[in-house]
Amino acid sequence: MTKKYIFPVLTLIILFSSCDSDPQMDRTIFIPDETEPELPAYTEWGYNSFGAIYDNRSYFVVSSVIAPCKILYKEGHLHFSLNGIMKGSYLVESEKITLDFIFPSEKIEQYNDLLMLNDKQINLTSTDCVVKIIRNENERTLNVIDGILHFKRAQHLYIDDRSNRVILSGIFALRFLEYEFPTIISGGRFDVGINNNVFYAY
Amino acid sequence: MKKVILFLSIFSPIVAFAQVERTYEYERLRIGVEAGIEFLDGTINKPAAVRENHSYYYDSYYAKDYYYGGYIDDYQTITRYYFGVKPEYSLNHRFTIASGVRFMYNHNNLISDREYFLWKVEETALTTNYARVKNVEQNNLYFGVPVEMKFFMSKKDLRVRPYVKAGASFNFLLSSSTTPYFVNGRMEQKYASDILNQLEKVDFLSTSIFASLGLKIGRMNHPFGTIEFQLPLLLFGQNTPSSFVKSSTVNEGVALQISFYLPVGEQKLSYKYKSRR
Repeated sequence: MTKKYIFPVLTLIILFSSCDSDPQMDRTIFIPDETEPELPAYTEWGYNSFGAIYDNRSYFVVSSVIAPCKILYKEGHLHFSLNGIMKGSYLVESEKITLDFIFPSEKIEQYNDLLMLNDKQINLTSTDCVVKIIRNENERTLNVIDGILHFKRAQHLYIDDRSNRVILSGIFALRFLEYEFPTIISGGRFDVGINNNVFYAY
Repeated sequence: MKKVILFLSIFSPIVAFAQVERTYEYERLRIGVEAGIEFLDGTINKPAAVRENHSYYYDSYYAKDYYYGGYIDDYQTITRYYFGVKPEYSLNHRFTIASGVRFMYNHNNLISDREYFLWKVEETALTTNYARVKNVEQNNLYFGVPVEMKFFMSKKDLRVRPYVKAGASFNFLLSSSTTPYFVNGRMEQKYASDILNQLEKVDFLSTSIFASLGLKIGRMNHPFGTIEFQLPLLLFGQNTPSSFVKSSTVNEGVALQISFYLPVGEQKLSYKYKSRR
């Protein structure tokens, strides 16, 4: 019975001892974009921020109280999930919203393997890609007309020569039909740090 | 008898206040020693390889959703100390000129308002390495040549005598030493030179122009002192006075200076004045 738990316990010990947590890296830093100050500037420092313009009116942006990004690898697909709020209109003030990109991926067992996403472009209209949006706890699969998710850079971050996390930075934009009318998410950018706290594979 | 009393009562006060003409003279040349402190304004010269942080300075403004970047207050004050030797020569009773040598020192400390900086020290296509840096200290030593002109508001050498002064100081960098301190001491040998290479170099020449208001205390024919307040203090140079503080082309500051003078030389200035007998 005890032997049954030795391997998972050892795995957890190795996983958690192989990377350091750092309070500075866990925080969200919002550097305003010069032309669109409601959005974070595009950065590659692991500031745990993201943002996009929703339908040319509102802003889908990171929030200080919601983990901005979670990644799940499941059954040959990677779920890249951005969690934030909608801002910019009294109609949608501080509404929680999640944008979930699901696309096929090679097997990923630990967060270090996310480096394979470096300079990878995902065509969101391909048949094996799915984009979901969760608003007011209602999940909807988007009927994407065109769109792209581009991981411009994946970097393995070390702090004082010890592995800390993988930083994923990139851009996204998509157009989809919402109640049969076209809707656009434009100017999307993200800069997030991924470690075992927000990554899971099975 | 009455006439005598009347005569004395009228003329005795006049006799008592009768004045004689005297000559006051003092040496044209004097040797001075000076010591001063300067407070210079500037903005932080952010090293590009330092990661922004969630700064304490921004907490109160953006407590809810927006965490603006920053790791140190933008506005920085630099304090410079100096001492020197400065002969002064009186052109006439109102104007003096002075020049000499001075040694100026300033200590700078780049320190995060959090526990440490995350400083990018290595980068490849797929890896990035940050080092945790507690602070970076810099000591700069200058050799300076001040050139000054004083104007005394009164011709007479009063015991306390106000003056205005205009001058310039040309300061040449003698030495500059910079030391980064790491959270993990083992990083020091590996990355200290990387951090030093990323910092901007301090200007070799740091020039300041100033106007000041001062008080001379004591007679000029004896050892005497001065105390003065300099405002504005205009500083020229982009990376003066530190690698960490960026000064504008004209940087306002204030300074306080005290000096002590000892009259020397044969040449004298003199003026006549009237004194009671």
